[in-house]
Amino acid sequence: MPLGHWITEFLNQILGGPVVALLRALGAEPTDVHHPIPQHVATEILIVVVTILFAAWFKRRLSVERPGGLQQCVEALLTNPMSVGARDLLNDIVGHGATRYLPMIGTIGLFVLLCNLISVIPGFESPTATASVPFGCALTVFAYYNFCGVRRHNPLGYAKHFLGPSIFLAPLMFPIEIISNLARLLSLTVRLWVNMLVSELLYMLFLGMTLSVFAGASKINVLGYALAPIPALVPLVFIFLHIFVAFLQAFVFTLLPVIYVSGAVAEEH
Amino acid sequence: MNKRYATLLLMLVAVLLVAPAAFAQEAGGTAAAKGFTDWVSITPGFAMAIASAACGYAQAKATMSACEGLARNPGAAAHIRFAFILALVLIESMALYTFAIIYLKYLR
Repeated sequence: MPLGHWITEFLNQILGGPVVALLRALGAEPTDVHHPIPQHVATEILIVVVTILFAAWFKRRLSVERPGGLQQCVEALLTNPMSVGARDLLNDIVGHGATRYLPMIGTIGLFVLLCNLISVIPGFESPTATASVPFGCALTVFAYYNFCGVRRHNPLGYAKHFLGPSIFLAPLMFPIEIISNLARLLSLTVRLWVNMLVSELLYMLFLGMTLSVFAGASKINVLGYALAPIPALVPLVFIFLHIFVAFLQAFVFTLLPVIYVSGAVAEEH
Repeated sequence: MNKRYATLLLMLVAVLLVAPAAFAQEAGGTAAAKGFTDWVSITPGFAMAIASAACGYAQAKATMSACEGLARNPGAAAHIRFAFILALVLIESMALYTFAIIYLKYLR
């Protein structure tokens, strides 16, 4: 059930012509004229459309006095007993006036979470396992926290952040700060991308290995029956690891932008 | 006869599932003749082993400090757990940068 492929085929059939026209208008020639939309973009579009439809449907069922189960589940993304929700992180780390950053941070975090989790459904690959998707998310975060800093202080005031604590250290601190800001871009990208790639790869490897063990042993009937739980139970551990890594990487991809925003809008004492 | 077909189907599924990983493991470049060691093919293994070893040591240190802190101050469990998980994720990502280089250079 290659669901991901069906979605890609469907989107390519519907939007293939306009997308090729748009690419040619921008000066890029698509590699495959009949399938200009790659699978990760089609999966991303599916995630975005499904989330928007869900939010539009869900808006009418929200209630302050009597929240249902689904409302409490969705609210757990914002506020958590473990204080790992988006609004909790913003209030703890940024302090006052944190709610103005919630739409962007929450959207990026939720998008990364859903992109990571969709690979649990058989047939889909997570878009974040392709190098360009985490890079796009990291670029958005980079642009956003710099924009927040420039909006809060004027551009000159924001550049003063890069000069370090004392004017004598400024020639040393300025390149270090610039490089460390660019390194944030790299680290956000590579951390998310490689974590999703590796956990999915591990899961498929162990699934294949355990199935080979079972298939080899089932020549001998008794051994085949005895070893049958192995391909059923061992991949469970790895899919659990994959789900855990998906949540954890989405959390880190929410927490780090909050830290960067708080550093960018910090007040000098 | 049904079980035979089921076994054959499972074997086919297993091979199809493992095959992409097996293709990914082939290192590029032909081995040089005349008895030279093909270091190009085994360097990724050494690099990843060193990175994982260092990552394991660092995570062990982080875990040790977190457990000591939790034992001394069980009331601060939520904060310690937060810092602990964050530290583990950041240290893990350092080992994964090595994997990223290996993937980009050797496994394409």
